[in-house]
Amino acid sequence: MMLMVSVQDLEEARQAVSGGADIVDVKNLKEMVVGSNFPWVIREVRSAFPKEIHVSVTLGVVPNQAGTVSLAVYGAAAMNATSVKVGFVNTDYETALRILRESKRALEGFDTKLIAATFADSHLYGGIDPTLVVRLARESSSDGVLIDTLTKDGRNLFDFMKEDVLRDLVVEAKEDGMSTALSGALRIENFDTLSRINPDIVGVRGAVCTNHDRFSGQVEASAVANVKKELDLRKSGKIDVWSVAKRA
Amino acid sequence: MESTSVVDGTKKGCTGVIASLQKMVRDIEEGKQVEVLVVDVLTKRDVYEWAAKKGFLVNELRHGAVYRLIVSRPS
Repeated sequence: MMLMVSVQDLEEARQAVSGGADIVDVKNLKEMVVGSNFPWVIREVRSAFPKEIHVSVTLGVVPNQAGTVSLAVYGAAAMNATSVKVGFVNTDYETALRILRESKRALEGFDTKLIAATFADSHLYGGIDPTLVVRLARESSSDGVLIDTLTKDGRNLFDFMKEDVLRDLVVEAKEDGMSTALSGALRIENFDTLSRINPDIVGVRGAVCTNHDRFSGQVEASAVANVKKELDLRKSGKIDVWSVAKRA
Repeated sequence: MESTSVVDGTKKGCTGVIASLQKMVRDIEEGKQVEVLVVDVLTKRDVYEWAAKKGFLVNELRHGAVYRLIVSRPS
């Protein structure tokens, strides 16, 4: 599992990388909880780190406009983003598919990977079924999937989707050759469950911010390092996540 | 039978070893072995589950921090 930390600016990105993050995910919390950041911020973050540090760009919840979205995707690629995430809420399956296909087309000639994103709590927002994400990604030739949450009220991914459902989706996507990412107000106490699911990427923000406050807090290197250490303990088997499940 | 393919899961990457293994299903079915190198127990478990689902065998060796998993079809 690689650690992805959501950041809002270069200073937070530096903190994340210093703490051991594998991926910095540039977003803008002032424009929805998963909004897009400005091109100059993304460019600044990208140019600050070598290619081994992945820089992902979130487009958040995108409008039902394939041209607009594919242009934004193209912009992310032109800034050498490692990946660009396109998320859907108020849309139907066919529209989402069309947007992703056009986005994939916009990435021709670039190394940037396209990530299809749905939200575990999308039923609260009239959105599409999050379990469709693998099918959506497969049919659009996307490179990976992300399941996140929009609700940031203390509930998290596991309040909306069960471990076995997420595990099945992750396995299915891996077998299709896609990268898999889970996010959504995840905390260290969720890491045993997360490890049993074993996505390729775990995304956090609140867990690594001052006072665990994803909005007014700032990403702190020490908190990132602690989260990374907790993940490593599970990857190495020093914390046996399956015996934890049996005891529960 | 001889070991003809190696999946190196010790390197960092977003797309994991299962995707690579999936591409080698036909090779394994035809009698070839695939050697998978992993350093974490979570991915090791993924390999065992994947192999069980496909009806393949896994023989495990360990070299320091690296697990060497030989995936093959039952004889």
